[in-house]
Amino acid sequence: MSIIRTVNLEKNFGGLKALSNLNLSINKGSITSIIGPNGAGKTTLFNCITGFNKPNGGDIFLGNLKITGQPPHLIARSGIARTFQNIRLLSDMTVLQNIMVSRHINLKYGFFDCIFRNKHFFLQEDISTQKAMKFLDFMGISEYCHHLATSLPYGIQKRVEIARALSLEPEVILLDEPSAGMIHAETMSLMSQIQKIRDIGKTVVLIEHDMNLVMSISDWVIVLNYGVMIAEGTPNEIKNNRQVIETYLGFAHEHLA
Amino acid sequence: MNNYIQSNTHLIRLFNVLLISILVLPFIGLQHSATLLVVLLVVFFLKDYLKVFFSSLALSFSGYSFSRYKKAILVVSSVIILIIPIMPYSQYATDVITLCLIYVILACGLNVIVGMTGLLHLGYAAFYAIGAYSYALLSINTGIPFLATAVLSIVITSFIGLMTAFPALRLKGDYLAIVTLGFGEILRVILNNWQSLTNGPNGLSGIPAPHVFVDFTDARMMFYLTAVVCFVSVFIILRVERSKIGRAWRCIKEDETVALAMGIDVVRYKLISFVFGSFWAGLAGVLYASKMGFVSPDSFTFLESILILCMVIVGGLGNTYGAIIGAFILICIPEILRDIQTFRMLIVGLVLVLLVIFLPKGIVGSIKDVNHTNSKS
Repeated sequence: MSIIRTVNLEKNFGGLKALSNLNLSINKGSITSIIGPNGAGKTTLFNCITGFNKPNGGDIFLGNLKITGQPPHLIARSGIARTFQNIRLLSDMTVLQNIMVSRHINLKYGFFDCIFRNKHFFLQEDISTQKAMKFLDFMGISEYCHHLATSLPYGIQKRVEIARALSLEPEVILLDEPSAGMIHAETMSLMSQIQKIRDIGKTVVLIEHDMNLVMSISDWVIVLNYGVMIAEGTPNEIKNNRQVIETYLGFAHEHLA
Repeated sequence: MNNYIQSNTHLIRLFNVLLISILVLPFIGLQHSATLLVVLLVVFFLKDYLKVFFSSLALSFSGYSFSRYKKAILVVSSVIILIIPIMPYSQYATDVITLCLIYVILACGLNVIVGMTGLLHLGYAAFYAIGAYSYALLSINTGIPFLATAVLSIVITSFIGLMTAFPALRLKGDYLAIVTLGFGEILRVILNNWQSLTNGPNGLSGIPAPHVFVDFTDARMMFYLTAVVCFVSVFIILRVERSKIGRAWRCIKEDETVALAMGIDVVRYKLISFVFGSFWAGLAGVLYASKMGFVSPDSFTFLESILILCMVIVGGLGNTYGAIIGAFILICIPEILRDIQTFRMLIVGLVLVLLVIFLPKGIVGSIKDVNHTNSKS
């Protein structure tokens, strides 16, 4: 059953076709990797899904809901959370405060509740703080909750970002190069964490260059090149797909012969 | 090599200091420019020593955890301020502190817009003026009671804030600053030239004092009214700051893209911030007009906007306590220095420059920084 579906999705930057005629569907509760060489349109696809780029044509569906061209904050509300390629934590805040920022849409109180601090306000704040701690715990970083976010090591910051996306309580979580810049050991623990996210029923979509990570945890792999989907399938199918190998390694046979 | 650079910068400093002193010579005379030269020499060449001095000053505060003693400091200083008007011969001090409290409201209000949401607003005095003028006009021309007039003026100010925010918030950063600056100037020109309504540069006089059960004609009564209003304002601002609204503002200030990705409606929260900020300007305007009994366009110039902005920056951008401290410093220093007429503004300027050089994150921000590095090591 697909949770994200794109129909003839197009995105142009001037004369450049970043995405052309893209039809893909991402299954609910799966880990789907999107791979491809640099400039293949992976991040553009993410930006279109999350509303940061407006597609020039085609449609995007979240479940049965059409989210094409909606503003990013509404898409986030309807259940798609994302992380960014380069870390974008809020530098002046502690880790816990960073997570509390993303609890925003789940905190249901109004302006006057803030001023009068009634029971409702405290109840909502308490629940949210507990949930935030729960997600920090889930990512194994609850011990850092009172540290300033940007004073932490790179690997931990990446996890804070994932925890922040999780605490929106989304259905789908998009990770843009989660393992970039990580050492091997960090990548290994990240892999198990991504699997844990899948196991609690979320759909994970990731852009990744680390083939080891992609091939070992993905349920489905989508390969993009120049904005066109050139292959999709299980990791094993992709490994043996001739077109994919050509894209990554160049034209093996013709030129050598 | 290092030595060479060192001596070179010293030369450049010396040259700059001489240049400044010679340039101001025709305006302030030989004696004063010589004094200026000495002051500048001391500042420039003792910069490194001063830096050590300031950081050790901040360090000595850090020994006591600021947040632990925050309540105690607040209570003690509020009590001291509250008993000043009861003291004999305190007419002047009462007046100054009433003004301070009005500026505390203004600084905290601007801090919401500039410090928390990161929207550079250079026309805040315009909203202060709208509050003051609407109160003045309504109370002079209509017979409605004080509370209703005050509420109406504040509503008008907030509404005009909303109306200006709609087009202005399409812009970001410097462009927004220019638009707000322009708005401030336009409003001042209107106040100056709409003779039939505002009485032009002569201003409006005979504004009645507040009346809630009793008349607040006495300066002391007015002080306590201002104190109560100021306390409630700071209280409300602090509460809003520490809720999802305040967090959303901070997120927008640091990174709008992240705010959008977190489901925060950036445009809506910027509007809320702008209107909420303008609200306090309106309130301060009402207090000012009713305290002075007279308003004129001269009180709401661009310099006024900058003064309020300085309070926010000196205290530490984005920190409500900082804004309070900044307001007191920037109102009290010129008053304390009233005796040395000529040098008054020079010293105020000097203090500002020194504060910004040595405590770039503002007073409260810098103390916090020192605390943080201490607790980590």
